Amino acid sequence: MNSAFLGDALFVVIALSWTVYLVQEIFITGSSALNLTLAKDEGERKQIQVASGLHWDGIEVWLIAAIVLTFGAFPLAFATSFTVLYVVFFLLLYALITRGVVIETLYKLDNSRWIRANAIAWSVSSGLIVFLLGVYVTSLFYGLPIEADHSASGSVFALFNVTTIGGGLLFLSLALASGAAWIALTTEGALADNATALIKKYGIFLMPPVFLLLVFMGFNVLDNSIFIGVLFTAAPILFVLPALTFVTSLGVLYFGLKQQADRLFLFALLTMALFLVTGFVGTYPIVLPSRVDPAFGITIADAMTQVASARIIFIAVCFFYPLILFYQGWKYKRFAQKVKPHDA
Amino acid sequence: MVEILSRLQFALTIAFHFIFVPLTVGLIIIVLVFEFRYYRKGEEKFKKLSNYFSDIFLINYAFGIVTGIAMTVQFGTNWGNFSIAMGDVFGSPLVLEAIIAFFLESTFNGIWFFRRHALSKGLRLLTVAMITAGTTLSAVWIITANGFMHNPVGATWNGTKMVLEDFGQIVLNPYTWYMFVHNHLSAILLSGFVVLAISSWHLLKGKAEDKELFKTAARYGTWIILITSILLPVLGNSYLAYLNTVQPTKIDMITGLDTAALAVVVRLSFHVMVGLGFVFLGFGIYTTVFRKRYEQSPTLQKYYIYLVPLPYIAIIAGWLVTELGRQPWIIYGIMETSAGVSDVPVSQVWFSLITIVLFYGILFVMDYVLTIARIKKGILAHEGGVVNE
Repeated sequence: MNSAFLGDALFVVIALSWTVYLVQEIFITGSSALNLTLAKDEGERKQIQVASGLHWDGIEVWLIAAIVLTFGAFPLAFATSFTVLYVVFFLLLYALITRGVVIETLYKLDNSRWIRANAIAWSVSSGLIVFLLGVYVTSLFYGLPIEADHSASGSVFALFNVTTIGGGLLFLSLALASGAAWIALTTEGALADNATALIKKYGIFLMPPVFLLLVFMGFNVLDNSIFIGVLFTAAPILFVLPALTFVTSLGVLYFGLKQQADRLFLFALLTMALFLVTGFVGTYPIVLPSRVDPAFGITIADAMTQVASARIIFIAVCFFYPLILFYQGWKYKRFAQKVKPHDA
Repeated sequence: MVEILSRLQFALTIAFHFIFVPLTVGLIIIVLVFEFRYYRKGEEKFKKLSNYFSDIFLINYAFGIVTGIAMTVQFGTNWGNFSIAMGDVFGSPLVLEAIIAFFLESTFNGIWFFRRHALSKGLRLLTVAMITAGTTLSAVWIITANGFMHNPVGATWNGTKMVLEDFGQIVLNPYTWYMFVHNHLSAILLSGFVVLAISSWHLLKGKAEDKELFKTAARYGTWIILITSILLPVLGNSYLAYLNTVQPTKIDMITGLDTAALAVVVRLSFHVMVGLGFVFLGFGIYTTVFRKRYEQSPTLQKYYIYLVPLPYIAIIAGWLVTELGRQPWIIYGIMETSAGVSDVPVSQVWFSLITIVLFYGILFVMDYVLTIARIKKGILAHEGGVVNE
């Protein structure tokens, strides 16, 4: 295993971790964010809590894995992105801490003000998590405000522009769509019946295709489009990926309007996964692109750890990832019973 | 200024995280013991005790697990230059911690929290065993990373960064294993005190029907304190002898040869830790021998409720010895702490420091209120999970 192979392999592993994470996180954060508008009483809120609470922490570890894998495989890229996005990462951290605590302590005190405050915090932090992740991941594809010496360019808010905010809203809308479908699929009673109808009323299903197109246009990001990377240039057949992503986002719209929860769920997850695959294919071999000047971006070769460390990480991933997927898959299957209104 | 604030912020966030860590890694072992007794003998009282202490474990675990992410974030936001220099060596233990330990504990914790009532006896034991394995392995790997910072073996400094040479040496670093065993024993000791304090409260003020159960819990708490307080000084002594060979400047601070202000703090902390260690040993022996007297004496029970801060003080003191004794090094003998800090505007560090102090203040109050409220509810009829809560 030489350096070039390991660098590519770990790039794929990190892309895979982000994909496995976000495909699941969208329906957890989405169903959580919906608790305020959807749950008519505490019984229904508790159904949502159980349906998403059972899985959230096992899923969040995929985020930690993606972050520490970046640290282990590409230390320079890890340190640079976190230093440049200092404030954004602290906001994300606060949202993650709030969600994690609240989802478990919601009903630990018999006090209606406690429950109300926690329900609001649960909803807001969940929405913020998925929005900020959308902004961050879109920036990972289109470039961060990085100068030649890897220092930050511009202010704290330099991360936010039309494309990245579009990415944030894309993630949020996919989260709400898949979250509503998740509630419809994993709970019983009035809650399940109303879940997808409510977000249809607010036109959420229209958002994924619209924001997807906005992000793909790369408006305001000059010559740093994801479609001019080495892979898209070398193999134009890969343009089937963004095309498929758009088709699946139309699937979200179609099955959302038709109120078919199972297909809606499937297509929302597929849209998320294909968007990420398109983005990572587009940025390869750059781990951290720069929006200031494409030449300032950090490539796999620039940031790569030494071969000995990369080999340990890669072997550990090859051994443990199948095992993790196995026991997390078992958990989904073993606890697949629908959450009833009164046995939550 | 960025360095001072970043150090303050890291110390604060890791100290806050460490309120929950020793309690949860110790308590889950005690829950595992109860669960094992229930699995073997099918005695209902052990199931009830396991459910009760699991509830207290789960509240604190919820706070512990998420506040741990704060450290990972700070490696990048505040200690970027440390991460770049150390990435080749520091990265792999963190990756292994996440994929071996975090996945395991988090996946099974969700089951224990939300679906405990739906599990068979065997699946209960498996779930608790997996959480215990996850928390223990997590401690092993993070201490592997920390142990390297104290005794950098298996890698060399090439002028700009650490270069990995032998991963086996990093994993088998004696410093790591001394530290791990010492830390874990003190965490179990602390949980013993917590179990004993909670049991004392129930013997004094709890429901009448719970009293027999909490006598059993108190017995377990006492034995745990006794066993760990015997092991701690024995192993601590060889830990100290080993430190003589790898960290001479720390030994100078402990013995008083170094008289700088920082060294005085280290020396005092060391004496506080060792002094308390002997108090715990005496306490463990006394309570084991005179257990009947404790069970009948409201005065003793009242005092025992307030003993929980003592093991926390001992743990913090021991920690000050370990980490302050390492200064000025971030990697002992190789890289100074000041060289590890990020190039970040000081205003941003002020922002994070102030907001995190406020935020953690709220979290601390929440955890305290929830834990005390759950303790006082006593044994509940339901199985746990979220049924009828």
